[in-house]
Amino acid sequence: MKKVGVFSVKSYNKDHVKFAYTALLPIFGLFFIFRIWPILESFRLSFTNHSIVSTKYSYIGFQNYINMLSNDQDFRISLINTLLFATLITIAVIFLALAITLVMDRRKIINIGLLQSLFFLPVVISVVPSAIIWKWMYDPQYGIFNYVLSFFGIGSVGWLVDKRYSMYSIILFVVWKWLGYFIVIFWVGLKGIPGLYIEAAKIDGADDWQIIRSIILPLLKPIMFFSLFLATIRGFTIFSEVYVMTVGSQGAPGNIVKVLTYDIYERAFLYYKTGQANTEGVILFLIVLGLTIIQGKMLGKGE
Amino acid sequence: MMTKTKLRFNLTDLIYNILLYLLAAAMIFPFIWMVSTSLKLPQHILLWPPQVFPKVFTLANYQEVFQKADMMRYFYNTLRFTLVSTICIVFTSSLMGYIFSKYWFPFKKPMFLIIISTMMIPFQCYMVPLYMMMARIHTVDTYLGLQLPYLVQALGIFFMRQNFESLPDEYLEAARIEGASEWRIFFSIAVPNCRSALGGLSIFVVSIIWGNLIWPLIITSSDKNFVLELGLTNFQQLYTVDYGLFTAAATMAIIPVIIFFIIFRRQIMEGITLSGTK
Repeated sequence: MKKVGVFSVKSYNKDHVKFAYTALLPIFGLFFIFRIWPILESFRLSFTNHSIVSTKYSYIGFQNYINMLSNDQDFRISLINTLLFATLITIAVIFLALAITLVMDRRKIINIGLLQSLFFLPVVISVVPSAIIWKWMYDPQYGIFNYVLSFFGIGSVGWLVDKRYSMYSIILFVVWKWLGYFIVIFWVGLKGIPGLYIEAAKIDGADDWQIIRSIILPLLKPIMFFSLFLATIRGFTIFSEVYVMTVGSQGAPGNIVKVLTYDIYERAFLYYKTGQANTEGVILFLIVLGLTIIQGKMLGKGE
Repeated sequence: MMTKTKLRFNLTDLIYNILLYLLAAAMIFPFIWMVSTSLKLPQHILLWPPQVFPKVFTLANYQEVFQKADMMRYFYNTLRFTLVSTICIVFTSSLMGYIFSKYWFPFKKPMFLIIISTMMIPFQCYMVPLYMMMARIHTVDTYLGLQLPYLVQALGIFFMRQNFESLPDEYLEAARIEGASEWRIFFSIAVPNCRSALGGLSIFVVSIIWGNLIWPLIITSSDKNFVLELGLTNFQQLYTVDYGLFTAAATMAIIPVIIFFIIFRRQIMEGITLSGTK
């Protein structure tokens, strides 16, 4: 089984090809039906006025795209919210995770394994139970957050129901939920830095800040870029966290915390505008694709 | 984890230790608060100031949850969804990964590229056509409809291929000389040699399936088909101010996850890079 060009078919081992195809084709078939086909369909339907409740529809070219980008209030609000979510969550989570891992690394910390597990626990617990607890803590009347505020003489805040705060309340929840994940990623990156470099710098009399600035951060760059884009992409496709925290109030006037994924869901399953929902899905995909391409370029440069 | 033998503390170290452990305590406080609330009598839940330790411990909330929600059904549905998905995805991923890594056949590269390219397309982008397809084959609001999209996973195929790359070809050749069939080689040589990768993949799949909310939310609509995540969401909507009740339900839902985490803590935290694209 030598690796040869496409045209010298003769040198394929017949038995191997037979085995490969018998094993591969059924699985590839599943893959085609449940992944590739729906993806192709979403592109096709994005150019139609398809509705889930009727069988007739027609192709309308780029009309959905034009409408959505020019004067669709729901889309605009969702896009702005999603942008805000993705940006703020990413900044907060990366900054905190980096600060915490650097302290863990540079200082003598007791039982780092235990500490990391505690930070990691919210990552493991699924979204719904976590969101349920936070909703209880955010309760406008009896929530423990308002109890803490009362020490500072601040009256009750409607964390999730008040338009001014609801987005930030959800962001705080998401940061709590994701933080441990990025701590572990940064920790793996930090442990990959050869101790020799740091020892050498210490001998030269460098203090912690200098070591962090001139050795650790530059060597951590690839991991930082990776985390940055991972958090951004996850921020753009966020659904469950926002859905459970706001369920019941998503459709409220003002759509204060509506995100792109929820808007897709709503268009398709509440308003039955499947054509438009697919257009929005394609736009979301293009955003993610753009981010992935930028990431690839930046990672390529960093090395 | 690194063990530091010489722990000579200075004041800054002490302050940083206290800070980090306070922060960690804040991270797990919501869970403590949840368990505490679930064990309180209804009249003690809304007490002001809030009490971390219940005055009177009671299991009444738990009993009531069982009366009002079919928790056992949700558990069963979630367990079935998780187990079947894990077994199927681990099997299909290792077989595909093995073949893409060790065999040479026509159209290998394009097939692999097609699979890998779907990896970066978020599920949310194609969930609507997927639902429509399920509607066409009459599997909406059935277990089958829930299960079918989770038999294969591109990320798993990619991950297993990477792992099979490090399996020496000589092992396979030696078995061939002894007359073993290709299937036998896969099951008795390839798979046992990649056990730790299979373990890592299983844990990853369990974690994404157990916590899956969006697909069950779309595809199932009757209570008997709900998985835990969806059942809880609805339960919380129905009894929106009955905090004792839904914290009890949430506590029940996370117990298996906590046990799973305690057992596989190291593998979960080490396998984290696998889920990079999820």
